[in-house]
Amino acid sequence: MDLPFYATPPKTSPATQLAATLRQAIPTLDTERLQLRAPDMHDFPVLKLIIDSPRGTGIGGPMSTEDAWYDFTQMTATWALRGHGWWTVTRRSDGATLGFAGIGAEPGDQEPELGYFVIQEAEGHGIAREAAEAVLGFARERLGMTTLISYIHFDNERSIALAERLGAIRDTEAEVAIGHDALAYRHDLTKEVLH
Amino acid sequence: MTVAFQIPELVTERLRLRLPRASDLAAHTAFRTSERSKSVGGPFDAGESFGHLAGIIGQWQLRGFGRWMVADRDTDEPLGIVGILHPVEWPGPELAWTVYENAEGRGIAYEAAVAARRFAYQKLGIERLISLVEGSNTRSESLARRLGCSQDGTFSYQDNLDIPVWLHPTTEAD
Repeated sequence: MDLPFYATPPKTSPATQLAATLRQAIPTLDTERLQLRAPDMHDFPVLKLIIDSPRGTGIGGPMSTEDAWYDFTQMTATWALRGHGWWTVTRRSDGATLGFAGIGAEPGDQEPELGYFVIQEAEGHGIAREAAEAVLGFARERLGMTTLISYIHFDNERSIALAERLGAIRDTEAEVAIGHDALAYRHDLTKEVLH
Repeated sequence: MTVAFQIPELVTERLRLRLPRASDLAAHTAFRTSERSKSVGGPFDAGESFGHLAGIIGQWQLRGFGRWMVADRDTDEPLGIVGILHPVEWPGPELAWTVYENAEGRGIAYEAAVAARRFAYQKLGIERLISLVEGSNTRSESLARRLGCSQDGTFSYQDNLDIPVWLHPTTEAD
């Protein structure tokens, strides 16, 4: 994908070096096929692509480039404010950006949320599942979390199916807590998931 | 788990410019939900205010520069947000300033803006710095003049049409 100029930082500068240092504070997760790493500028066009696609309705899409940028900066900053956050999901073999997964905390949420969304080309290959499992493992083992919620748009059958495959169970009380804005699926991190 | 982010801090006579943190949220929300935020498109709700503060931090991670929380050097009381704002599709890096009510009329924005501008020129190597100031925001326009800016065209995005662009002098570049 050709990047628009604004997504292409200068090769090296004090700013790009500081950005790289800040990103190093975010842990990297490796799975069989994927690497989850800190988001960087190059990932923005991919986020925008997902937001504007049919699969972006559950995350507020479609929206202007301006608004998508603000979403991106907020996703990225969750780490600094809460000690957990979003990763960019990349393919280990070539580094291609496939989507995003992580533990978010957005306005309106009532608790930390497991979220995942991938580009169309990555669908149907278990990419989102592999990324989500890595995030669940991180939440359990590194963060000591016992539960996570996934808020999912009513029409997002693919995401609902994945939540169920991950062993999550519909939580109607959590849906009441957010005013029935979305479906809520609860992940119990105290039990091992059988695959 | 603690994720330690360290950004360059700037210290002036009365101020410390540092990374925003969760404890600044009350002050930031008070500003964003008040009538005072009209000049930046407000008032907003509390959720938006959280997202906005988070976004300030996120830009540091993505671009390696951004806006600081301006805090009282002695008490650490949050006084406002000043620094280099650069969303995509912006006409360039912008020196942006916002002060909370407790900082109004004390020259806080000026003191912080001068420090941030010097940092932008000398440490970041930024060569062209602008400020976008709504024409109705006379206080901010006065500050732009005091900082030696001259108006240089306008910029429009979404519903915000023809915002005057103020170009900063580069006298502190050396």
